[in-house]
Amino acid sequence: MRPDLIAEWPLISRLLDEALAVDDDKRAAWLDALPAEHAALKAVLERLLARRDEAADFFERPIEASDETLEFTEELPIGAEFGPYRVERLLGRGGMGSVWLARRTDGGLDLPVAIKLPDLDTAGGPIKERLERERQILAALNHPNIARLYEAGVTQDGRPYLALEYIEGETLLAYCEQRALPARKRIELFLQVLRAVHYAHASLVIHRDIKPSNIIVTPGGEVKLLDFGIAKLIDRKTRITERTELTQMYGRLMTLTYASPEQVLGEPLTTATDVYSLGVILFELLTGTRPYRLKRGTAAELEEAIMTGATVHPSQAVTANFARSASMSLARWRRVLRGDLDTIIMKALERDPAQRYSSVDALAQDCERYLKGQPVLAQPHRPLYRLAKFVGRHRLALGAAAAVMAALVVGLGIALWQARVAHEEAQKQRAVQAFLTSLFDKNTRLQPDAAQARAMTVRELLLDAGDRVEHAFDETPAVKLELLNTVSRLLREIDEYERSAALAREAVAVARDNGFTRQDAYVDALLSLTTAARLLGNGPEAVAARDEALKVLEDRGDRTSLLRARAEVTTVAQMAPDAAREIEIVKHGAELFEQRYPKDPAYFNALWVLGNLYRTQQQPAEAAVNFRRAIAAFDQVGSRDYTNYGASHGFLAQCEFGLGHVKTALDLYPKGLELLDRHAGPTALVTRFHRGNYAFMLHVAGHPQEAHRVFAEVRATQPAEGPTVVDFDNAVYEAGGFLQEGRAAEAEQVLEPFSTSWIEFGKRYAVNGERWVTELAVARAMLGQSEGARKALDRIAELPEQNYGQSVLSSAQHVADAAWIDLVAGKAEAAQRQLDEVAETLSKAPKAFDADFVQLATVASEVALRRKDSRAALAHASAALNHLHDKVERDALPYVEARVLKAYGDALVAADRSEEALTQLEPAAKLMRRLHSPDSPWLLDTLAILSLARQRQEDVTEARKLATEARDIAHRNSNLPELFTARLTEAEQLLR
Amino acid sequence: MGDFTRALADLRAGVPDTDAVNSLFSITYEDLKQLAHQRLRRSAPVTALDTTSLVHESYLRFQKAARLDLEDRAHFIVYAAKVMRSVVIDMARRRSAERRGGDEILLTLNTEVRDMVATEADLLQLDDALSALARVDAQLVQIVEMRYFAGLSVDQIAESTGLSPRTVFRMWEKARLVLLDALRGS
Repeated sequence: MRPDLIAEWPLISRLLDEALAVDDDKRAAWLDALPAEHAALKAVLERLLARRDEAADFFERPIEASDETLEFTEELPIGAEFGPYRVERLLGRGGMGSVWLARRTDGGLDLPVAIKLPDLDTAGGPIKERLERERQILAALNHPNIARLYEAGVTQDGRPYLALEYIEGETLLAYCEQRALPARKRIELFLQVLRAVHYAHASLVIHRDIKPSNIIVTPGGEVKLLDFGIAKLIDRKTRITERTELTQMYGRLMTLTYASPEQVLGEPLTTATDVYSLGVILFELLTGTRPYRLKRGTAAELEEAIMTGATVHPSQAVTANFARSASMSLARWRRVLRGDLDTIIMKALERDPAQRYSSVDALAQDCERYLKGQPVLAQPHRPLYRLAKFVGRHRLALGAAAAVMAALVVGLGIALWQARVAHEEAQKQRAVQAFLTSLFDKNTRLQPDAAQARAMTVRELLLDAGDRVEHAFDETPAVKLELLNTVSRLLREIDEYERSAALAREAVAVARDNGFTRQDAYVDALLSLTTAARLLGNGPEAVAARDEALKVLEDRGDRTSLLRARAEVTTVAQMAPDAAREIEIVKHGAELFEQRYPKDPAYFNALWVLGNLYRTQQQPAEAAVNFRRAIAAFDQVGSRDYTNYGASHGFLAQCEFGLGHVKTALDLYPKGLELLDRHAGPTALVTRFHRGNYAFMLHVAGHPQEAHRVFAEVRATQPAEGPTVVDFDNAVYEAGGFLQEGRAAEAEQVLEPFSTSWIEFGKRYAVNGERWVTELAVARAMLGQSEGARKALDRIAELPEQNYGQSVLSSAQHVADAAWIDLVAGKAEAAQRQLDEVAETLSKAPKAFDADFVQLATVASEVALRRKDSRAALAHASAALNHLHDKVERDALPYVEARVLKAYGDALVAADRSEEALTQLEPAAKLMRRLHSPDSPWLLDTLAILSLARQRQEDVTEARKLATEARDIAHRNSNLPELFTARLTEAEQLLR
Repeated sequence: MGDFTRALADLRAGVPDTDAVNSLFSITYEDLKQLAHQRLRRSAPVTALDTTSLVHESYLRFQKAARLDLEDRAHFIVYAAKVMRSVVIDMARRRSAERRGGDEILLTLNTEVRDMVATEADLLQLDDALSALARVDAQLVQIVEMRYFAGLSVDQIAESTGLSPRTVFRMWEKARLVLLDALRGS
């Protein structure tokens, strides 16, 4: 205790009581307000209170009972910032560095992170390499049971640091002991460890230092594997390097207790090393002790025990104390261990790596078999054993005599089956490893220089891998299947769809030829084919593959596995013959993820797919909900799919826009575009697609100049090889904008370059194909070329009728435009007949905002007026206007609003309600003057109607002025259709 | 065990430093030490000492032998906390001495968050700070012994000392500040 405290303790004690009773955020004020006589103590109190969190943390720490005392040289002040992180407090110190709790300060995701920082005096040495290695490895690993790496950086004084997922919890052993968990629960937790390590192995990473203190269980029962610090990429270096490096590291970095014999010897390491370490941990987890009996407890003795394989069986090693701590008698715990668990653990602990489980996955499968009461593969070939298992599982179903009979028959089958599976499993793993190694070998052989070897592209490597797998492994079909699936998936990820599909087809064939059609690998192959075929636009193949995958799972009775969830969200999207069913399937998959696999990165993907299905089914409200969920899930599941994350913002904006939430949409889009620019690049198709959509929205929302600027940006990034579908869409959107502004000639000009290629793009997305045709027709109609308009419209027959299962031709927008074109051509009756087809849609405004309904009702009003039915005209126009004003913020859709107001005003004038008409027409004219071309025929028409209304109000001067202005516009347009000048003619006649 | 019952009676009556109390200390000390060693042997080398369960286990053993009642339990726990502090500190001191000449089985690289426990150096300093604090505020020290060394909850401490949980918590909070200040300041 410091002297300054002792001297004044009673007073300090009293003041501390006061200070601690004050709320955290008011404490500074409390200190400032200290009475003058205590001012001298302010510094002391400040010093004490500043360490409040650290003190709480320090005294939460358990007391150490062993291990060395560590010396440290340097303190990092709390509050120090490096990178985007601010240090909050020390979490702990270790032999070569420290770990700090920190938070982001740049407004990024506000999660606590653990910062690993080497001490200054060791920063230049092996620790730096170790951190760098850890960074490289963790960056490649993305698994719910592996602590995540957020960032790696260098501090200002040149020390490397890692920002890691901050995990709270207990070590696996402590967790099990405190809760006195039974063996089954322990094995279930251990399976999570196995899955994480298996995942690492599949990513070509071995951990090499698996030990209990590296395995944490969170309060939610989730296992996290930490510290890949001395992990190593498999087969990236020669054996010799490996040996030297390990010899140097030996005794310094390794935890001998969990080390394998080959590690002790300094031999090359394989995945079997991790199998051994896991075996030791499982041993300890189930017995509370280590596999070795040591007398003196020296390092040399431990080494010797590991080397000679002097291990005891778990059932012999377990003590009464341990059994009691798990609330069980020693005899009972022994019985649990004897048999399968003894066998599983001893197989993992085989001295010879070749005799151990061939992979962590094989160990995991045996643990799962044990839990399910199935025969474990490690069990020596003893018929009685299997018989016991079989009868054990079917105890209820079999009478005694029947049991013997059945066991004789089934037992033989199981024996044969098992011998084959065990053999193949081992062979499969070895072959896969050899193959992967050979890929890297080839890489290094072709490119002896390391830098050049690295430069060999992933694409080349994978294409080569695909060719080789296709023509090899005919003797081991299971291996072939697995490799085909892996390479197919990787090829798809680098957009090599053709090759990916070819390999997936081959995988499906291999599985069928060899009777593997109930296996996971077959389902994987089918799903791989589904996605590749869909991306290639091969609908029937995609649908067949996906449905087959679901059928296999259904037949297996599998309704809840991760594979099932993945299968359900592997959508065929627009290729689905039944859109509603497609949504049901994906929705179910997303629910499965939510309930069972909410931390799986594919959960984001599921929501993203679901959002898109709703979006393309014109259900923007449901789509928006799911895009929002996807955005929320993105960080939670640790997805790295930044492109779709950015696109989620874009599509969410589109949906909000579709729902009439224009401001929200315009606010959302820039963030999405920023993400896309950063992660996909401004020239990527997806970025250009969304930028074009943003321009479209800007236009509709009444920012024409800004919109045309963004349209031009998209055009500027058109690829040299020619326009893409995005350029087509962009033209369609911009032309639509020009038409709204009353610039038909410009619209035609933008559409023109696609006069032959439109059908190619239109087939892919029929909605914009329809738009291209219809806009061209509308433009020509506005330019007085009725015949040309009709001809353009006929070309629509070339398009596929369906788009995402919905008819393009019956869309309200198309009907509205087609009817309007008839109206312009002077065929009001034909227009009415078209509208009669959609009478039901027209009769009732939809619940959610629907811009197409507004357009349709507007056109219906115009047609009715032409047919002298002013009552119907009024009804339709007011329906349109009410829907618009009810559902959309004021001024959000000014173009649409101006045209509706005009139609309504026109109908009111015809109904002799000119005073009311003025209140509609004045704002319509105001909007059009601001947003339309000065030569806009819509403006002309509106001014003419306004002139008529003024005349009815006997304001002749104003009426004349308006008519003159309208006439000027008419003069500037050649060949205007009569529809646009009819009202002007009427007004001029009355004025005479 | 007759001594033990008598010692407890003396404790209850507030008579310290009798032979009975001294022998109670050595009995309790031996028992706790033995338990701690057993526990450590089972889960060495890197182990956090779960003192709570040790005190609890020790109490159960005495209860069996001497038929303690509830009031005895409260006294015993206050007392055992003090003993536990001695056990822990003695172990730390011994190990720290051994370390200078002794042989380590393992050298563990401790950069993981989970390996973070109070080290022996921390503990020895803490003990000094507690001794200094005891001269000005003995009750605070008692709270620390019960909370930190015996791992009792605030409610349990309140029960055993007759203070309100609020007061116990406040005292514990205060003690932590002062002790950490001593650890970090020197």
